[in-house]
Amino acid sequence: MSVVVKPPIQPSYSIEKKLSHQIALLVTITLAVIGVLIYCAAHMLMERKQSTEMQKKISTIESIIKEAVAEGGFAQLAKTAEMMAPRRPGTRLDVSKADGTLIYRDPQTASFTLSKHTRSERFSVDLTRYQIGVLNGTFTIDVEDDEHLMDDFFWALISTPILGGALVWVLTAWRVRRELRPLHALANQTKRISPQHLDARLALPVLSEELAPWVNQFNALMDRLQNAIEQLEAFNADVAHELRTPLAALMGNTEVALARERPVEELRETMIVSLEQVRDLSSMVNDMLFLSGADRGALARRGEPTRICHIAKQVVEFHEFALEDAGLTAEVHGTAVASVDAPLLQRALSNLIGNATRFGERGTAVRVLIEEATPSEIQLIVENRGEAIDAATLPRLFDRFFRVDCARCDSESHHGLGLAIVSAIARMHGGKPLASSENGVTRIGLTLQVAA
Amino acid sequence: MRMLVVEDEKRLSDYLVKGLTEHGHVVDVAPDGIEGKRLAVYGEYDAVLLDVMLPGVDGFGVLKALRAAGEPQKSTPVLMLTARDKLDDRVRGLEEGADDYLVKPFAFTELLARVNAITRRSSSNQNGAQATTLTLADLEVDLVARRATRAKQRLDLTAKEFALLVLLLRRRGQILSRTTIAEQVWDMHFDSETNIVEVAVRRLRTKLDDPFDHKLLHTERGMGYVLEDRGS
Repeated sequence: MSVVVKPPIQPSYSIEKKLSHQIALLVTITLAVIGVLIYCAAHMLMERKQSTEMQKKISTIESIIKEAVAEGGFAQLAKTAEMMAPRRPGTRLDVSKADGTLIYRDPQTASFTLSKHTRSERFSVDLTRYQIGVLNGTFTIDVEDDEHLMDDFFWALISTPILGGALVWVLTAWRVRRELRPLHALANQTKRISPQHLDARLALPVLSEELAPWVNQFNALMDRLQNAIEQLEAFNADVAHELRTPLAALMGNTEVALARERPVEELRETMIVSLEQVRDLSSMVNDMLFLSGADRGALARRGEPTRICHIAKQVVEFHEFALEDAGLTAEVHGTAVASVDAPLLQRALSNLIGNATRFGERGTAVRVLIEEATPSEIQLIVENRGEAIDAATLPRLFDRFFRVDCARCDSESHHGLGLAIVSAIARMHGGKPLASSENGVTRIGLTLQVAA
Repeated sequence: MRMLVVEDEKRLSDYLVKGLTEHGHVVDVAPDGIEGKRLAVYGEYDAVLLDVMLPGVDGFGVLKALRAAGEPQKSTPVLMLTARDKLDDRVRGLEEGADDYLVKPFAFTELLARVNAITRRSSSNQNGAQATTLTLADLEVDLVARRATRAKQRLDLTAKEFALLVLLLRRRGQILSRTTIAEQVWDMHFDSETNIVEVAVRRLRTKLDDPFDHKLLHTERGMGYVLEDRGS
């Protein structure tokens, strides 16, 4: 099988660039909005200040106008206004009668010229007491200085978001790059993991909250993969080993038989032995195919709901003679009903009872216990009395090619796949294998999920 | 019987031809699906052994063509040979009209037993009423009274021993594999390479053969068991 090298996935964006762009943009917008608000507020304050000052001046002018008119009529008014004009630079005053006739206007000389930025306010002075009626006036002040100030302020406010955004952009990029540096370390570490170095794990001197789940999940995944690959390797080695022995015998037998002339009877005997070995091999291959099918997720084909004890009794009946020969009796307890794959369950139970027959103590009973552990789960246990299996061995019972050393077992006819098949059948029913051994009672079995 | 073997693997078809011919059958071989389809549809066979994975048309295609052909429909018994241990293949084969299936690798005895079973099934017990008494040499089995005697001596058999004896007696002269025996006597539908059947046969033998000089129950090592009168 060739290894397909896939081209690396091209990134569609960079977190560093994306974050720095977005944050810079946000900062710019925020600063711009704040700037606009500040500018408006300043502008309002400025206007309020100007208008307060004008009001003050206008009221002074009004009282001066009243005094001057009281003293000497319009002539006095014009005189006084003209006299006072130099004392209020940057302003201009017009006074006219109600009918529009001009009474006084500041001279248009250089010192009175105003810039383009002015602000005018109209006012009227009630002189009905002096039989003159109402005088209208316009007071104008030059606000160029204020405008300049506001302009400067405007530019300062404009440049703040631009400069601030740029600064934030650079700083964010720098910070993000720094904070993401562990990712490069992780990538490099991941690169170093290979089938030859499966025990390598990701590690960082300081782990952030965000990276911790990722790193931990990756390491957990590696644990599972390592486990699976090691099991697979061990299994491959086991298969090769298990096949090598009978193959060697087969090859040797045949070669020796053919090496010289032999009577037909002898050749026949050799062929019979070969046939027996080939059948063993074939059944082992079939068992391994079954296991690999289960590994690849084959599921049980569940039939109509049946009483599990019927299946169990059938299998016990099948083993009746072998049990009797071993000096054992058999009992079936429990009445659970479930829809299961009957042939598979027969096979599992047959393997379990066969096992119990080999390990059971003469004169005792092998018991098949069927229990509804939960409404959705049935437990099937085959129990025998006999030498206990030590706790360290229990979990390995369901491993492929694992055999418990025992004097009575002829390892020839058992290739150590029986309980692995039980475990596979459990998994095909959504269950798991079970094993316990204490006080001389060994209980091996499986759980089955009752189909939903 | 005339048989058709549709199988592209030459070594396998060679041995099938040899084995079946030696058992008195006349065998034709089709090395691919197209030839297989032609022979199966236009030929007259008592049974077809059909591989699933074939060049040209696969086994299912041949089966479909065979079942669709002819008026009245052809009911030639078909035994499918599947290479993969895939349940779906088996189920599909049976659904599309195959009579039985065998998963490779299979034992020749097993194949023979299945072929005999499907051809017998299709000729639907043409012997008419089943005999109620079966005999072989001095062995007599009364199926109604469920009683077995040898040389007029009653054999004390358990129910399963009796069932085993009847099976062997009905198929006298045929080698029955452990798998067939487990299936027929105990209804165990899995390849039981256990020694359970061996134990049962041994027990039957102690009651059936041990007290007598003339042995009827024979072990064919590596293949199975056969009940027959081989003379003395």
